[in-house]
Amino acid sequence: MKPLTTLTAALAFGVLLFSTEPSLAQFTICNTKANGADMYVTYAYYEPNTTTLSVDACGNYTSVQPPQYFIAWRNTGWWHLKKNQCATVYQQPLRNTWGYIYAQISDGSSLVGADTPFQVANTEFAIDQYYSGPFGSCSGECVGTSGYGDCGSPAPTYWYVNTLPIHQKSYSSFKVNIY
Amino acid sequence: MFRIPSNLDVGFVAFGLSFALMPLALADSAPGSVRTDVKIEAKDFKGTATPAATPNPLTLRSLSATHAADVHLYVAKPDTKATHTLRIQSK
Repeated sequence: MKPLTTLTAALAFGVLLFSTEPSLAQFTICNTKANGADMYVTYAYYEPNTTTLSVDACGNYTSVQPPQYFIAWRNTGWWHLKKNQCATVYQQPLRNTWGYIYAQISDGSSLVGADTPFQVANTEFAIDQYYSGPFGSCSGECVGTSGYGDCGSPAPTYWYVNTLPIHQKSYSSFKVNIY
Repeated sequence: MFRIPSNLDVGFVAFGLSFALMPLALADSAPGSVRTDVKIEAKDFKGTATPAATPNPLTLRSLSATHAADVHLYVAKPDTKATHTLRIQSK
């Protein structure tokens, strides 16, 4: 094989390796408990500019038209983690220095320092909370809409839980190991 | 032993290098991007008109559907300039 062809092949292999790596911008939660306990986890992130508020776990929403917007915290869940498993709970560049996590752990323990209430549902959910707005002018008519999802049967059940503030600082990728 | 690289070879190398370095460039640029510094202060917000909470306690058995697709095995990786790992105790 000619030298440059070899080099090209090596680079192509390197490219393949890089392309199979997970995205660098993400938030990950891992279950590293030594006692074998499993857990369900949630993650809440800041939305500085959203036009749609998800108000429950059924898909019901309230929206406005740009340039109007809401500010909100979106709480999302659940991810079920067995021993030595991780979940990528947010797959975009982190946009705020703070996020909030919660873990429901099978051994009955809870995250030390968790003190910030968020609402959760028993089903897969993404619920906007602590919202404010709408902001922004809407020269002329302000048109907002509401929509309805499908709650299914039985309807979701809700709780308030204490989440733990996580100082994500300016890192583009952040991992939390719960032990 | 050595030959003058063809345009195709040079193109491959340039493409490979730019593609391989792209994640590093993104990682360096992400911390510099606009990032808000907001922490929840309940007095600053009004709560959503969310459904009432159930009086029953939350247990693992209460929970059903999950985002199973995003779960993977734990792999320890060293921190870098753009990534950080935090250990949190539960008790």
